[in-house]
Amino acid sequence: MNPNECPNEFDWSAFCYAAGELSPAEAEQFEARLADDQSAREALAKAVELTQVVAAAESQADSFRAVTFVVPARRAVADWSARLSWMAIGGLAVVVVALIGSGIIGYSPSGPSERQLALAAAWTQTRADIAQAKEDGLWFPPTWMFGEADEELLAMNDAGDESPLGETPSWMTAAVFGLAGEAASAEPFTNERGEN
Amino acid sequence: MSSAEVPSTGSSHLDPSVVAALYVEHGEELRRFLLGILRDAQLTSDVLQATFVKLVQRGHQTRIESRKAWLFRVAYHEAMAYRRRQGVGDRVLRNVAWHSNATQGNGAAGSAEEPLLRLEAVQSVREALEHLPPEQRQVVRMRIYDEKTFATIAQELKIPLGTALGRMRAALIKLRVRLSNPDNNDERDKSHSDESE
Repeated sequence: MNPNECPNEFDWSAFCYAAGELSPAEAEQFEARLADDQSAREALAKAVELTQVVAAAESQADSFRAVTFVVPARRAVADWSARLSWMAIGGLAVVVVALIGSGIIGYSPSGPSERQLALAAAWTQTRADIAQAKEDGLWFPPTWMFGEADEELLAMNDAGDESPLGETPSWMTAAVFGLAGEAASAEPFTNERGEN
Repeated sequence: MSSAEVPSTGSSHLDPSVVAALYVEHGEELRRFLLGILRDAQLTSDVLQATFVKLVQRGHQTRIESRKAWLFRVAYHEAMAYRRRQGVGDRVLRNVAWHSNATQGNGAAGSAEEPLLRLEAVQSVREALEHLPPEQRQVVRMRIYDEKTFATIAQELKIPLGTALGRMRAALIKLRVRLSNPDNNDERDKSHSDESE
């Protein structure tokens, strides 16, 4: 190595030689130095090592980039699942609307159906019969209606206070809802319950 | 034990343990040196082997203190002779697969702890790369990882060739410092930060 030569200059020449960036004349000149100069040989080895390490480091950095690239891909899959779910819900809604429109599912926006009216009439008739039976002293409510241990309700009934029968029982409400297939159709019965 | 401390046997051949010690001590550096000349991992391995064959045959004629230089000189002449025989000269020079050799260059011949040392060096240089100015790192990546020539880099980045060379050179100075001393801190980087273009 030329003692007047800057070490950085020397290393740079070694790198350019190793990288094939020297002209043929410059490469030949550098090789001539390699024949005699141990420091030139070691500089070349160092340049190659640096190149290898940098390449490996960049390769590692690329791997990290690849990993971070995978994450949005997974999110995309999740997005698709959500989209498919919403599409399924939307499709189901369309089918329900179509069934309602075709009359397969009974829905009468104008008022209760014949079956609802029949059920309501039967219940009204039953209440009237029970009331008559109570006036005649013939009414003994069965235990299954209130529960065997519910003495308080039985006592209330015996005392002639407001009877539980005055309220629409839950099974009745459920039956009407089932017939209507629509919660809104229960409104007339709610009013009826209010009237009682 | 250093090769300089390993005595020769005085016979017509070097003691195998001496050869092995020299291989452990200088084999990897020799391999890189040869790779710089030959740019081919397989050729490099062949020439490295030929070099150590010569060491076995004639190493007893060398002085202990000059064996490293002797090995490099023999390797150089073997490499040049190989290139002439194979006719690979300039054809290989312009057809380099740099980092495909990088992983092969650290083969089984190295010492057992060498891969760990190299991993440390890679980690250290990777950190140094992250601290480079973006324009310098870009040139480093394009030259070493993407294997583009400086002329191509200058053309693609629309910068003068001298600017591309200057960025690479400034970056290499910083990276070399880090490679030489993986434990160094940023202060050593800063000492070279003014040497950029």
